[in-house]
Amino acid sequence: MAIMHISADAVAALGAELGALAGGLLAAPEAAAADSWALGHGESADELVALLGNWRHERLRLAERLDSLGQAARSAGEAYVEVESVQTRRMSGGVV
Amino acid sequence: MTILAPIEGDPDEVLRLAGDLDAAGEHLASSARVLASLDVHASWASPAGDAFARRIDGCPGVMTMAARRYAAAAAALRTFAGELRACQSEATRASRAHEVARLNDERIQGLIDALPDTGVGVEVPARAALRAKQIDEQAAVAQAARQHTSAWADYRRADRRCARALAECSHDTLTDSLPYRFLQGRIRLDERVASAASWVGRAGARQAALATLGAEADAATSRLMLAWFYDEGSATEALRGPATTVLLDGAGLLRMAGMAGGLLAKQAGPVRYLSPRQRAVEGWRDYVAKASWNPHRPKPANPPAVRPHPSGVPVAGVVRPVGVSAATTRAKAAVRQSAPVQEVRGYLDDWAIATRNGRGSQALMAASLGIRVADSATGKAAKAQRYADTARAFGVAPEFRPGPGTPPTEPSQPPAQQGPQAPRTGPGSAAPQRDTGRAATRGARGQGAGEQEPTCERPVLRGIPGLPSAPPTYP
Repeated sequence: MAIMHISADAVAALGAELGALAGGLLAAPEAAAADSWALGHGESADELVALLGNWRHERLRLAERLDSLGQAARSAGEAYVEVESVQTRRMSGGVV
Repeated sequence: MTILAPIEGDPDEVLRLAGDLDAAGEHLASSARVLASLDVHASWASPAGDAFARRIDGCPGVMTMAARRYAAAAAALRTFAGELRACQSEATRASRAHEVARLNDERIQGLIDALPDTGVGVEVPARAALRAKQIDEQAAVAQAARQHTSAWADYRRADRRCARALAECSHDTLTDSLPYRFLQGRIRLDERVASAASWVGRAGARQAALATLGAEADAATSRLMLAWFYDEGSATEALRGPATTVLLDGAGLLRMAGMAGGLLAKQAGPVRYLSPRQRAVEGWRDYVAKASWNPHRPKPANPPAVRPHPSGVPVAGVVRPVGVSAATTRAKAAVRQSAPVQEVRGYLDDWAIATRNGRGSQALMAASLGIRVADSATGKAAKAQRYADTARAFGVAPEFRPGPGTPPTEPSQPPAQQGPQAPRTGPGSAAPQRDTGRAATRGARGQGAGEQEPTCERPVLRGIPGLPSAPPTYP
């Protein structure tokens, strides 16, 4: 028998959060490159752009996996919330 | 006249960037913590939660490493911002002092020049006093220049320190490997070569064609290697670019080959019957002569003037920019609207020529048309698929299809409320589009007015570098 302890809202929020995180990871280097002018025309501006852009492979893989996890968690969370609200109405005598 | 250059940069902006990096790092770290705690079944203990935890597999480690990288970069930037501010203010102070002393020097020189000449070896006391003051001002100029140089040297040292600190942050396992960077660099270079092919082709059309095709083929090879060795992208995507180029050029070649040796239907004259090989050669020559990438192609004749509509009413759906006359807008709109008709007419004319050339030419023309239609349809299908994927990713795609017994949805739902992140506050409010069926079902079953749906809102994306600046909160 399965023992379940689920925070449905937390799972759904986690899904949304992971999706947003994945989107942010994809946009990060371009945004940083646009702001690197603030460091002047020295070596540090180039290094900053390199630092945020030189992990493209891991970044894309991470973004892809986070996006996939986010979708899974979001749909699961929404389903848990839905089931819970339907069951609550049913138990409290409302018409479902 | 020497002008001392200011030190460029904006310390406030650097501090803001550091703050954004800190927030992004904190966001990554907190999400990693949540994922790691799921790993030990903190808030999702169920078979589905177990399956989810198995899929997490290594994500928290990478996220923690990235968070550490962001935090270290933010610390380096904060230190640099303080040093940059000090250097800038020192350089500005020196520059102002230099400017004042230099102007004073020039003014004194003017006064000295205005004094009457008293003869060789004789100097009036006023002149001597002015010269003494001028020497002081010149010393001030030199002192300001030294201060300015020193400020610049400080800035360069601080810049190098910051660059070293940022470079040290890259010494982790996240950094791309050398072969990966080589492949990415090759793709970027090939894209630049392909976009500059017409410039390369000033030497000749053949060079332009070879440059375009070669660059695209090389980029496709690099993309294929990325797909095979790094699981990034797909082989289909990698081959799509050169395949499209080859197919479209092939379609153009077939079209020209179909018309080779022919005459327009309205013209009389003998038709030259050519062998398939001759047709291919002539078609290729004609196609290259008119190809868009050929820098030596003849310039198109001016388009015929389009008469504005006699009613004077602008064409429907056209927005006229400020400063553009209505007649110009109408003419351009008419040209744009008639473009598909012109294209069809062009194909019909070509078809007439191919008909006079014989069945072989017709086959070539039909093949050309088929390739173009297939390419266009494939492109549109891929675009539609991309839109659908994006819409699904953002949760606006209608995933729920009402069955035959499901009541219809409310037609008056405002579009602004559509989406999974729109707050659902109760049965009376508009439900997201994907949940329209469920919402309608709930409404039909007489859901209580006082009940409140659980909400799930997407956090707002703010700040640079692209990550949400607010750390997540979980209920």
